[in-house]
Amino acid sequence: MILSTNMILRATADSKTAIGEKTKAKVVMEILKGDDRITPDDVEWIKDLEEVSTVNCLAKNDAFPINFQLVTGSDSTEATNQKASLLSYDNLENDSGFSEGVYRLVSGSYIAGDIKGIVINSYLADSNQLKLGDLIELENTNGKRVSLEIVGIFLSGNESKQPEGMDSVNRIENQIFIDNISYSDLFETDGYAKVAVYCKKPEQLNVLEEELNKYLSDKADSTTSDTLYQQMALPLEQITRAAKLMLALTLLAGTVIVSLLLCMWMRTRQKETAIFISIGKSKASIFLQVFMESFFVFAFAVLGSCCLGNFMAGILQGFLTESGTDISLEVLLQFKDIGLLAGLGSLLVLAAVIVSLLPILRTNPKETLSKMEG
Amino acid sequence: MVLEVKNVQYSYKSQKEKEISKNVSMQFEEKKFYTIVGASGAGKTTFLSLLAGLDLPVRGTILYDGEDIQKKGLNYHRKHHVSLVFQNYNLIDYLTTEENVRLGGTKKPQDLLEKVNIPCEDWKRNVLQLSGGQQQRVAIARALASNAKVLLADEPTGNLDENTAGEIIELLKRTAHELGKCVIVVTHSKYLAAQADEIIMIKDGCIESVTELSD
Repeated sequence: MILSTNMILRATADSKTAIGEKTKAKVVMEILKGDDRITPDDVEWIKDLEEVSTVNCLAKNDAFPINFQLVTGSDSTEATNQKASLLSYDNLENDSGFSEGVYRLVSGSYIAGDIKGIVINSYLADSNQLKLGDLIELENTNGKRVSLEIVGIFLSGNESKQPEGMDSVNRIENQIFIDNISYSDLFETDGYAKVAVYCKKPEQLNVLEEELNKYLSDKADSTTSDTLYQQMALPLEQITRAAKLMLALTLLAGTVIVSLLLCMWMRTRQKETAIFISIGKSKASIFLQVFMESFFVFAFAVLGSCCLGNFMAGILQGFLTESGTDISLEVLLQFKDIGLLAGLGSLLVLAAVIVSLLPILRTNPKETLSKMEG
Repeated sequence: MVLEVKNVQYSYKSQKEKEISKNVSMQFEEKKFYTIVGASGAGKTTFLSLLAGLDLPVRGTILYDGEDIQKKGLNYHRKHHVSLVFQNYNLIDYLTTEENVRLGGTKKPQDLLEKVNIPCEDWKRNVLQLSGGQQQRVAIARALASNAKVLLADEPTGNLDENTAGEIIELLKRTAHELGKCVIVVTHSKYLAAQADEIIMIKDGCIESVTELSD
């Protein structure tokens, strides 16, 4: 029982961690005023926090195209109809239209890690006959130009649904996703409009939010996102609670039953114990002798329960996941489980030996032997 | 002297007002065979238990080679200073003859079993398969297995027939005179008592008389 409940507990804990990683609980810090920035120093401080797993920095600005034409249906000569919208990311796959399913990558790669460059819309690429690996040139409002390599091409599916007269800067086709280093180079600025801070343990999200609010309260506002995690973790928590209760009851019942069995066993060995004491064997050595004997029986039981536990693991997994939950629960026998069983079991045996043997050791051997002689 | 009892008083914890041993003083020497006699309830076995370190006196001291037995602990006293033989033999019933003797100490069990006349075909047998007399001899061999200078026996012939009892008495006498141990035996048997070098008569928890017998 100890082994099974421990296997369930560990499996639910592992699943919870996996869910925590997959559901990506995060705190999003967004600047309050347009000219404020979350600086690289702020980001470094955030990354050093214990609860933080990763950080995705985001920024947004507009730039003029140099060696390509924007897609537009408007005749306006305003600047908003001459510019493309640039959105910078550390990792484009997260916190963007791509993660929400609004956009999809049709070729190339997302901006992430060592992959630097830009991801452009398929319509923009087609209209300018651009392909992956081509360089396009962009210019900021101060005249600074930067050449960037196309690393990916995306499609929204809503391009044709946009109003005809919309300015270029607002059109999906003219949205260009760029890495943060190139963005800083182009706009000669470092700092971000938004930072998505991912939490290692979703249950610590509130603590993380508090810390971030304390640090960035003067320039950024926070929002949290862990609804998915909460929904998915709820059934796991119910399983954990039930398994913990089972474990506690098993330990309690185990101690009582083993103590009673040992008491019965010790009664049959009362005379032997008294003889040993009377011929000068120390009580400590008698105690160790009984503990070792009980421990060997327990060791055989552990071996048996390991074989049974290995067999039961699959059945338990099927039983726990058949209730229609989407949770993947991997119930496996691991050395950790056996270690815990050995630890808890040894304590249980020790407690039972103390309870059963102490009264016998405390009795004067003369009295025991007199009783035995009738 | 090897063992000395000085002004020892003893009463049960539950009946503190009733003294079982009253101001008992006595000295015991090596190479001597002592018997303690007296009526039932006189305090013979209690006196032996005190000598064996199975009980603690309420007052007074018990000295072994001039040192209080409580100084090194009663367990040490039982292990190194005294060895015990009981009326009911008190052998470990799941062990063989040899194994039982080995429990007593470090001496070679085969030599001891030879000394107490246990035939070698019985050495590997379960101790319960032996006769009462043989079991008592095994118990004596176990007592001799340690280097204790004092052998204490409580009614060692109580469960044995006359002939076997005679053999056991001889064995105890030899233990005292040939092996040089101090043998103290509690007994009801007049015959056994008469074999001792000194007879200690206990009455109402006091030593009434000590009679020295000559050969």
